[in-house]
Amino acid sequence: MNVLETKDLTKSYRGKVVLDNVSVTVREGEIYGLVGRNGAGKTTLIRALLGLARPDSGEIAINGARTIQELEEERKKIGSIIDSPALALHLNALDNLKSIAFSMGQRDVSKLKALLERVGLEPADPMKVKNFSLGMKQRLAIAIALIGDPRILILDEPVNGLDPAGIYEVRELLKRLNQEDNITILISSHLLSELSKVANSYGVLANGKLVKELRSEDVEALSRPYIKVVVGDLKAALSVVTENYTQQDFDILPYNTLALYDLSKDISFVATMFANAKVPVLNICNCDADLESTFISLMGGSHGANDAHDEPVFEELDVLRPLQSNDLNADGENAKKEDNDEK
Amino acid sequence: MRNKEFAYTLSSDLFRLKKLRSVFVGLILMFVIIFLTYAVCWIGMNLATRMDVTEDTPGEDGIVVDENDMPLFSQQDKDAMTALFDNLNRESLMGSGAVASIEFFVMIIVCIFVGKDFSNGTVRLMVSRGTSRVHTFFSKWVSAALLVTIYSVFALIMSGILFSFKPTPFTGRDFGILMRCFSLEWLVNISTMSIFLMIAFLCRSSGSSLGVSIGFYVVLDIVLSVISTVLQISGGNMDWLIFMPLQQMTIASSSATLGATELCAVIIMPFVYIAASIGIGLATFLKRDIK
Repeated sequence: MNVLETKDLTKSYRGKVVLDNVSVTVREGEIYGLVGRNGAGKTTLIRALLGLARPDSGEIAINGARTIQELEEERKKIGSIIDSPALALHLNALDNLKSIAFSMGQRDVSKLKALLERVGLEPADPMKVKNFSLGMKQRLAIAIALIGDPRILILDEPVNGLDPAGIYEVRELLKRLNQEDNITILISSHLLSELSKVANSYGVLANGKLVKELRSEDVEALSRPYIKVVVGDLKAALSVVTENYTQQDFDILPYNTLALYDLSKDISFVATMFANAKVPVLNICNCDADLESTFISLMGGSHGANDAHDEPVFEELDVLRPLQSNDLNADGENAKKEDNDEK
Repeated sequence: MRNKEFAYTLSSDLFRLKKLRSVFVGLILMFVIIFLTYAVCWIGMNLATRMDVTEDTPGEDGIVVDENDMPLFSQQDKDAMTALFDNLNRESLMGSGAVASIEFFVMIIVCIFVGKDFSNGTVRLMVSRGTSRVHTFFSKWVSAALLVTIYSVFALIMSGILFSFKPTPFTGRDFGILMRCFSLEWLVNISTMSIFLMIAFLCRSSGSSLGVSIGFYVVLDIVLSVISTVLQISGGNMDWLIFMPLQQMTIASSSATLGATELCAVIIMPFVYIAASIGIGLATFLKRDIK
């Protein structure tokens, strides 16, 4: 059963389209990871689902409900974190929970204290939230999202500001909630490796459009291990590879680097092959499946998104983007590298 | 079910309002202002009682002086002084709500309360959890109206207590006037509160809504003063000025008998401003995205 669904959802701000006919489907019991750069439309999509942004056109369905009143009713079953944690800074943790719980008709303080303990906060702590660390605020936001035993959780960057231990705890908590309580989770995060540890379905957004919806098996199939070789002479190396491999399954990465996906020939064979051809090998290693580069390539690489919203992390990762055939110039040289040099 | 939901939203708003320090700071400051108003009356009344009165006939300049050339007061001066402070004491009681500057405190608290709920993300969180926007808006309006009521009653009680320390003659008719003043002041305060609530919903942050509210107050005051001066010079009709926003409190707190125009200004206009503020505030809140 589909618990969250959008159909041709479109939203623009001052003439700029931020969601362009987006149709996503989240099934019951899934952990759905929403992937995309800053400005790709993730938060707008989440806002629209939660009734905070009015779409220009398209449809939203939550558990099959579509009218405004029905949607308001269904949203009572959704816990959420959007942008920065929504917290009253002049109150302590328990009062923050009370403030939201009262609005939902929940007055059982013992349940609220249990929620705080569940996310690792001290219920009796009188410290005001304004004195909390970012991690503590994030935990409190998760506790607030869990008020009223929601059936769906929508979390926008829930591990922002958490230390590694905190990230691990939140990940385990989300897995537990999903497996034990069958809570459906929609989660957006920039930490792709982290996301891949919890999500079993993905929606990739780029420039306000849904590029692809994938299940975790599809992502694994797309991301493959490879042998990475940094060579001194790329042209010579390419001719060696074409001579020795029947399947031309390789990518040219920046900085005279080759990614060889055909693992029928092991790393020692590759090293010997280049040595025999007198092609200098500067570095060679086995690389694991790289989910991040898979997602980045799905998002359209570094040039596919809105440059105004580019985030440094993606720019750094750009060097990992496999070259496409049009990145090579007529002589088989790495045109992309040349472009970078010119810049 | 929907009514129950409104009660839930209201209880959540009242909980946060109760936890807002400015509410209590406002009450303390109000008490100080009321006390200072009465203190001025008491000092004036004491001075009037202790005034040395001379029986001598005033000279050509109308002033009687003592051996140090200091002016001496006649019985007439003393009576006028006593009447002045007795009247001020009485008017302080009649205008207890106005004296306490409820308008000003409510403006600050409403802007902080609504602005904080927006900037902290509480409104965002409540709407995303299925609370209707209509309930959210009216819950804040009712909470602010309750605040105005509590402040008004507090000001009235404090005024009554302080008035009783040094009472001037107070009849049953005066009690009627007191109740009339209190009711009208309350109504005017509710309309003022509605205007500031609308501003807070439009601005969505404590700082900017406070700035806009104060700016609105000051600019309106300046504009109306200029208009009033121009009308005075040109001999034009100034009656309509009392129908303008935030101009009804002086009439509401006056113990004088009110004419038809004044009654219209002080009874009908608050309702007009309440309806307009709610209409604009709610329509904007329903239409705009919540950040």
